[in-house]
Amino acid sequence: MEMWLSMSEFQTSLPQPTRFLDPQALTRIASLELIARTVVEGFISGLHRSPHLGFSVNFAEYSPYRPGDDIRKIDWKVYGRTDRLYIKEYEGETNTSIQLILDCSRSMSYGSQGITKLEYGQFLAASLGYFAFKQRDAVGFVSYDEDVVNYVPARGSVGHLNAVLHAIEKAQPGEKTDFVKPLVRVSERLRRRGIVVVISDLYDEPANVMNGLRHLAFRGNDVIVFQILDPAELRFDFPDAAQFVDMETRQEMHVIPEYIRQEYRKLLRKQIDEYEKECRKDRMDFSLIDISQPLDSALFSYLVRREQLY
Amino acid sequence: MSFVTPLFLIGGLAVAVPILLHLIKREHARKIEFPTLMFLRRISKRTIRYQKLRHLLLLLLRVLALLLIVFAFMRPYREKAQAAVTVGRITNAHIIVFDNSLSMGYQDRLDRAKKAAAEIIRKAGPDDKFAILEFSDLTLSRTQLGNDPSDALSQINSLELSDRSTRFGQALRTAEKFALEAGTGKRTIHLISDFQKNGWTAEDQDFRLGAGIDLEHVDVGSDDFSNLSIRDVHISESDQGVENGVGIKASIANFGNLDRKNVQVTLSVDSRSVAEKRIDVAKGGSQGVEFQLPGLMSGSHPAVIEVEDRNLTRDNRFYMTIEARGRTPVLLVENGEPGGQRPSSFFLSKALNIDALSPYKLTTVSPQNFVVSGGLLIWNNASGGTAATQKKLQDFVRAGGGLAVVLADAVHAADFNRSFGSWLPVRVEGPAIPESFGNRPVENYVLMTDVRMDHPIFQPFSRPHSGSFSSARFFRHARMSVGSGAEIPARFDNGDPALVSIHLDKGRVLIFASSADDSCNDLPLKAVYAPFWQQMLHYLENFQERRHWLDVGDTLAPKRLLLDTALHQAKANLDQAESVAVLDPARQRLSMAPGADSIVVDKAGFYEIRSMNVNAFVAVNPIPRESDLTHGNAEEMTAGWISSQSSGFSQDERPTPEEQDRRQRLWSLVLILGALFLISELLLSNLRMTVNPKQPREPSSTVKR
Repeated sequence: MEMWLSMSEFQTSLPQPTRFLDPQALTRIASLELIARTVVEGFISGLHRSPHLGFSVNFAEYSPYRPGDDIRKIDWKVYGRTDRLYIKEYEGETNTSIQLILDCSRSMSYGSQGITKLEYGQFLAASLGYFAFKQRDAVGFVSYDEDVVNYVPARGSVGHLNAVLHAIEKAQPGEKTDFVKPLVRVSERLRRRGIVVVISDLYDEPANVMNGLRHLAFRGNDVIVFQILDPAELRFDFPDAAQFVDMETRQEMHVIPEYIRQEYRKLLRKQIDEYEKECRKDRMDFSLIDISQPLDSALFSYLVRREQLY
Repeated sequence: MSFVTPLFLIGGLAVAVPILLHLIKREHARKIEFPTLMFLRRISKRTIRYQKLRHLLLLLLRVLALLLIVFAFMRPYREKAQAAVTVGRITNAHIIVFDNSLSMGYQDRLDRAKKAAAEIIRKAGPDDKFAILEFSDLTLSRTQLGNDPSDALSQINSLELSDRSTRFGQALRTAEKFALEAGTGKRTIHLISDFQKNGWTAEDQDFRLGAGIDLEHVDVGSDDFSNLSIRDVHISESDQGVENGVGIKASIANFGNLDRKNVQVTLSVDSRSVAEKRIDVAKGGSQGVEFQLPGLMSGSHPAVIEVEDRNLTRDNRFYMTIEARGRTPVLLVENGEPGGQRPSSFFLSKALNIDALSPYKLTTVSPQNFVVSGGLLIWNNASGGTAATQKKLQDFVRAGGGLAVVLADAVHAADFNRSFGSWLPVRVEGPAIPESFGNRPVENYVLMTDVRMDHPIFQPFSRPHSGSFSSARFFRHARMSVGSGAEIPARFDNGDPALVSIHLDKGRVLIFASSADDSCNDLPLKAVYAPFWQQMLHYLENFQERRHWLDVGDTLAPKRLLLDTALHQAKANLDQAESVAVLDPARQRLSMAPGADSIVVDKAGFYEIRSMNVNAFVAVNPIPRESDLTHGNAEEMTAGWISSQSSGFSQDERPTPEEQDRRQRLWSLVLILGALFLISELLLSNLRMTVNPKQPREPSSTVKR
């Protein structure tokens, strides 16, 4: 199944956005866990009405205990009734791990719609983590700018979700972006094959970006790339001439937007197309996310990818 | 290029506004933090220059539009001088304006002026051009602009004095035209004159030379001078006419600052000296002289008063003609009365031959014997005669003769209509109140009450107590119908024409509707009878008092003059086709332009006009004010003429409103161009300023939780 959809195609294939919470509304919820739960539960309830996609995390069967099994999985109630040791088996239970990598560079702190790209990325990472946890996947989190800022390895325990959500919540905008160094370091520390989700605005030279992403993919990971951009970045519809300041380098440039709007859009579109092309070549998923759109589009993308794996 | 309202140039400072806005907006532009400039930097490499150009183009359009609007409001106009630039480009042009008026004949002024002019030509550069103008009250161009010094010198040497007076304004206007046509380079007008004070008249006081024209002067005049001139000449005839004596009075004026004693003044008549006087004239004053001449023979007598003065001889003589008019012959044609009865011209002949002072000499002939020989003709109560007779009458009138026709009992309507009616626009319908003389009822008459007092015949009667026609009763009269071409100076109270006047070529015809004696009216018994008939004859001969002299510059109509002379001298009418010769005072025959009937006299002395049978003299004198040699201040005069350089136009060059509008048409073109620039700027800026209504909010660069 071809995963990449253009932005417009992508948006039209989604369930009705009104069913989901607006990203701007999520910013008013204090708890990141609650945000993640709200998003995911809403997303799942939507999926139940879908004839195409679905999964279950319900109890599937009991299997006899064998030495070496995790004694925490022993159902003691059954042992009381039958005096035999049985292990609970769940339908959705796998050994998949998901590593969430969030770009925390200075450019991610931009937002023109009441929510920054970083905030949106945090919501997305939390939602994906919660969603993965619900499926018994191990969840890890990495934040980076020029280097790795925070690293939480992927684990499947209940308490670990809190650690992941806490790490996500702590993420702050840093300095410049580097895609090679932090991603190489992350790839070196990933022990298990799994899904790697990169959430970034990808503002670097495409060669550097792809170099970093390929390091993640070399170890057999399935890489999902979410390029999140603000509508102002996509449209560049500033009305008046202004002195534009680069948030990372602090360089300034006097720009009359109406003169260069078309040219800007053309260049941005070209880079996005290049990412899309290169990712497809390396069997990575690439999704462009407009932060004015609901989060479930990202979850949807994740689910599609996971379904392909199993 | 000049400007009508150059102060609008201050408005040019407005161009600073868009420039300042451009700079301020650039320096104080709002800062927007943006995630990355990587795309903008790539764009800048390729398009920033183009964008800057577009931006500059907008700025340029705004600035140019403002400048053009300011330029338009300054009202630029083209100077005519600049138009001439393209015609000819020369280095230096010298326009020598040479005064040859009568006053330049004082002592050696003319020679000194010629030397000064020659000096100007000799000092000029090899490529310089010259134009020579001579002026008095008439400005003539001796040469057009040319670079032949020898030709210019020969023109200067051939200059002669005229008898005309001085007028600077006209000469300078003409010189200015030459200077403007010379194009670029130094243009100098050299005014060589004695700078006579009265040469500058009040009407020329506003004159200023155009911009870029230099005026240099050579003053050959002097504050010390003495000149005698004859003025205020008055000729008085004796009560019995010039034939019985003429008195001539004159004033001898002494202009200058020297007393003149024992000055000889002589009077010559018909080229013979007839009187001589010696007088003393104080400086700045005048002395009268009086001559008494005996009776003169009829005819025109040239007379000259001459004063002895060697300084300026051209105004020493005063020329005049004294006309001993003689008596105008009047031929009265009527049928003889049978049986020794009183002729019908009884009263008329008494009225016209009232005494020796009458200007008319009446001769009575029968219709069969009359011969047209000039003078006037009265056709009194006689039949029209044959066609040949009428032809002679018609020719007589058309040649300038005067004819009066009296309609009384002997004139029958049919006969008049057949004869006179064939060439005059008058028909007789019949006699009114046809009763016999013996039975006339006292109450049955008409009065001549409707009289046009503005008509030359009746003008002397217009004043109060100068005669009344309404007291005369007209018992019988001819009832006339008048066609076009005739006028009716008087009517009876019943509306019938009493007197009809007809102009036919050079001559005149009067038709009186009643008798000249008392057979049909009692007018001969009234006081107005004799003057009425004298007025009618004056009108018929077109009598005018002749001037004794003309001034230089006046117009002379030779044929008209000869016609009057022929009439007065009782000679045959002047043949219209006959050639007339005009001799000037130097006895040179003047040629008249084809079709022209007059000439301008420009020399002092006697002009003689000759035809085959008649000749006449016309005296011409210089304009008296030219004899006043009072010297003006040349420096002040020339400074006044060149003091204003701003106008760029002399009065002659001052454009008409249409020309002015045409020269300023540039204004509207510039304004349209400015408006086009503004429209272009508007279109271009609107094209680039299309704004997406969904504008981004201010970026929030901090994570809010």
